[in-house]
Amino acid sequence: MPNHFARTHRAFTLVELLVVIAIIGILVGLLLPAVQAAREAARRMSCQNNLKQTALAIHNYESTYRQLPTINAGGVANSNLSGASLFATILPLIERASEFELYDFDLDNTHPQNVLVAGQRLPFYLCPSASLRRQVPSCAIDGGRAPGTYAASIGSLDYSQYWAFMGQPRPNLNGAFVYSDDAAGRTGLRDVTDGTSNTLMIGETAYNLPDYRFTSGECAGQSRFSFTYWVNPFPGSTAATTQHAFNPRDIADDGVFVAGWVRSFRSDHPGGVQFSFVDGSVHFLAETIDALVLDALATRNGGEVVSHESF
Amino acid sequence: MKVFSGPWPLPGSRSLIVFGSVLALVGCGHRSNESFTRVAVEGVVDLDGQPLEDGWIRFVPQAGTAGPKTTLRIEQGRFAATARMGPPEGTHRVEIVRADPPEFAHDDEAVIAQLAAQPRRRIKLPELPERYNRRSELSVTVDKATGNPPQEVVFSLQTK
Repeated sequence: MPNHFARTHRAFTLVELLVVIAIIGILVGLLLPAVQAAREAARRMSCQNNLKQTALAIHNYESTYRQLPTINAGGVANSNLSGASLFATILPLIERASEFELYDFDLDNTHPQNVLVAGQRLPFYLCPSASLRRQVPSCAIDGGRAPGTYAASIGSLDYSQYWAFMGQPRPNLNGAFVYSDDAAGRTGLRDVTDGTSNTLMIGETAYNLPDYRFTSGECAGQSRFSFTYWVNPFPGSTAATTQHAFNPRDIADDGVFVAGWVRSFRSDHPGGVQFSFVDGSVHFLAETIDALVLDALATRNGGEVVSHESF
Repeated sequence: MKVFSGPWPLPGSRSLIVFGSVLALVGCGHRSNESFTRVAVEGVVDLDGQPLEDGWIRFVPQAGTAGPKTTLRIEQGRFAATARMGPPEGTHRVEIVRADPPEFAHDDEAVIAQLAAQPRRRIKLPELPERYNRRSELSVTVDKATGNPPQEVVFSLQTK
């Protein structure tokens, strides 16, 4: 009888306890990185939503005007790059009509009156995953303009802003969007002959190029990280191309920097960049995508055949 | 209720430990998601017999070569990339462009505004013939076997 009493009150052995603790440890170890990944997944979804909203606003613009907006709008005579960007053009369609009314499209985007609008951080033009590695605006060259992390696709060829001053022929951009001085004038959905579900519209940029530096002004020599201000139509700011690279990774102070990276689509998501296509769908393109496939997606009228398994 | 109190090793907890170790090791293996291998390259670019002081060299994978484009800087006629930054293995079309001079930087908004204020003004940027970039006839095949040590590629360009 006393023997039986002792047996029923026997507790767990030390080994059993250790095993239980080890299992709990393993499970927590599995869970913790998963929680961090879930945060990034949530930020990525929010970022996707911004792309979708912007794409819908551009579709509304198309419904109203029967054409797509150009990369640049307004601006001072003879200078089509100091005016407003496509992202400023679609403000009323993204429910920011009051900002649109306040903005004067006949003035520079750095004009004090326009900076009232251009200096606003608009949450739908900022990807939550994109870390702003410096304060924007902080230098005189920033012109008081707020950052952005999205850029419209001008295709597989870059745009030379000096073409008119070099006596070159008009540029002939092959992306969904063109500059207003392009040979095509402007684009509409009818010009997207490769198919709207096979053509890039809006992609991401990020403040992630530490070796991209200010070259003039009081900040000369400091890391600029990115050129993107949502109001600025300059190539590399709200216009990007697939000509140079895709999602370049710049390692700080390694002496390797390529100017074309500033005009390339890039993001802070692991492994790739998100795009809204002309049909309004949003896709994640892996950075390992074949160059020919990416160029085929970037062009609106290249006539390439792209299978949906290749991206 | 019978509580098992036999001697160590307990049959149940041993299998638990094995199961736990397997769980702990799952995910430790690093899987590269790149379907291609990057290759270290280095090389020389001459223009009319002189080293090209400043420019970019771009490797554009051709049909059959997997992977993205790679752009490298040319300084004093030389370019180099480690296996981490280099072009993917295979055949590439090579495009070489000269860097813009500092007074006409790719991101200088003030210059374009100044130029716009005097529309008659003409500027000249140093450019290479289109047969080296837009309509490039240069091509190179990089492969892993010769990539270590990096294979030396030589491009001799002529302005005429």
